[in-house]
Amino acid sequence: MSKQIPLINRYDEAVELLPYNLRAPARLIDEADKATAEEFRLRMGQAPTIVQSEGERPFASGQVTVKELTAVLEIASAVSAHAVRDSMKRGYITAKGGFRVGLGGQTAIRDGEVSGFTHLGSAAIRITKEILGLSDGLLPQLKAQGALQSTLILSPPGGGKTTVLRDLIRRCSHDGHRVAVADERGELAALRDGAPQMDVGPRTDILTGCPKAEAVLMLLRAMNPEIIAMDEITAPADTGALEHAANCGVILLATAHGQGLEDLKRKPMYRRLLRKGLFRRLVTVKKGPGGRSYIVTEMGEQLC
Amino acid sequence: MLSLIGAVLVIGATATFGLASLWRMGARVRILSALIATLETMKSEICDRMTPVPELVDKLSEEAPPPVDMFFCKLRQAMGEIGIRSFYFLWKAALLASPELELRDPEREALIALGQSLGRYDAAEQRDAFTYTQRRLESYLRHAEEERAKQGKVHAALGITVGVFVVIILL
Repeated sequence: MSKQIPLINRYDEAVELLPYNLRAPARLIDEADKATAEEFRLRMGQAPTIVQSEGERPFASGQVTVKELTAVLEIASAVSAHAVRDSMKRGYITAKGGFRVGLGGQTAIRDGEVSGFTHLGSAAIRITKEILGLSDGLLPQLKAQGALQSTLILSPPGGGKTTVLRDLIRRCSHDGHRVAVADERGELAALRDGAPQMDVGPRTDILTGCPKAEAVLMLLRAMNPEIIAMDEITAPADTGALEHAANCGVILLATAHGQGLEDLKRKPMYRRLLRKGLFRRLVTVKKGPGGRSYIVTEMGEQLC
Repeated sequence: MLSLIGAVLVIGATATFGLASLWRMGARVRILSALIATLETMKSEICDRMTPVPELVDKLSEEAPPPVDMFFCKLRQAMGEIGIRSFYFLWKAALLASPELELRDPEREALIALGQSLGRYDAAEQRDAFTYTQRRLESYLRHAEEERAKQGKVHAALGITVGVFVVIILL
């Protein structure tokens, strides 16, 4: 699983989300570092940093200012905070190209709900990666008697589960399956003017910007999918929608935050998923000094 | 005969000045009305349809009434500089580079101030900013209409009168 070919490095696109004065220093770093870069981090009054698997290091001198953080917000939201209000309420914006920009700072509250930010304090620009063929070695292990099994991909935040899921979608789509993607944040396909900016295969239908649970039900009704994919199960409504889809005979591909099966069992929402036997395979992504490894577990009812 | 031709030319020239002044006042009224209507479109697109600002600028550069469309053309060309300069800077620069809008300082300042809210806040706050700017422009429009009604005809009549007066003196 260490063979990761070909890597579509979207570092240069991510650099475009930085304020103008930080783009040149970000472009100056080594190509090897660019390939392993995971995030840009801007924190008010601190040096801007780049996050890699081995940690975080500054990539430019000077301290991040409010002007630079405001510029990030303006670029990421395409000068349209009103259009990204719902995601801003959840603390992030999905920028053009499917890059997730996390925001921190002082929130504004209106009618008891977070309505945005009054002062930005930090921004995390996640560098999206496409690794075509990443799931090639995984796929045979996700099948039983030649048929793909519903699979849950597990890792802590930033572990790379979205990258695995995207490649699984691409591969299944190329293999002739009709795949429907509930891409609420636009990170899987990065739909733009109706066309995906990332390779998710030729037989893939995408619903983006719509809450995941609702999207699953809409896709189920409208697109007659063989496979439904969803990134990050985070709410009971998501599990309910997946359960409904599974009852309709659809294969599920999804991701969740967690360290492993035992961690999953401790969380009531996931325990219910496990008890229902919705997923037959579990892929745990582990980050190590030599890169990422992928452990596939067959999930039987005895595990639940 | 020559004197008659001269007299007609003098009166024609001074009358043209007067009528041009009347025409400018009319144009100002038309442009302010067009700007107010465009702000209403922007308010509806941003606050109700959540249209992203770059998309709206594109649309208005093609669909806004002239010469407001020219202002949005300039803004559209500048939008590539987002990240290098703030949207507010680009909005302000496009307004300052649009003499065809025939704006007076307070009108221009009202529109420049709107740029500080555009795309930066949620829909409700932007709606407030649009409403405030529209009210200000409506007050300037009323003033421009009064000016046209009161002074427009005076300017035209004055142009002709001055011409006649000059002709009488010269004769």
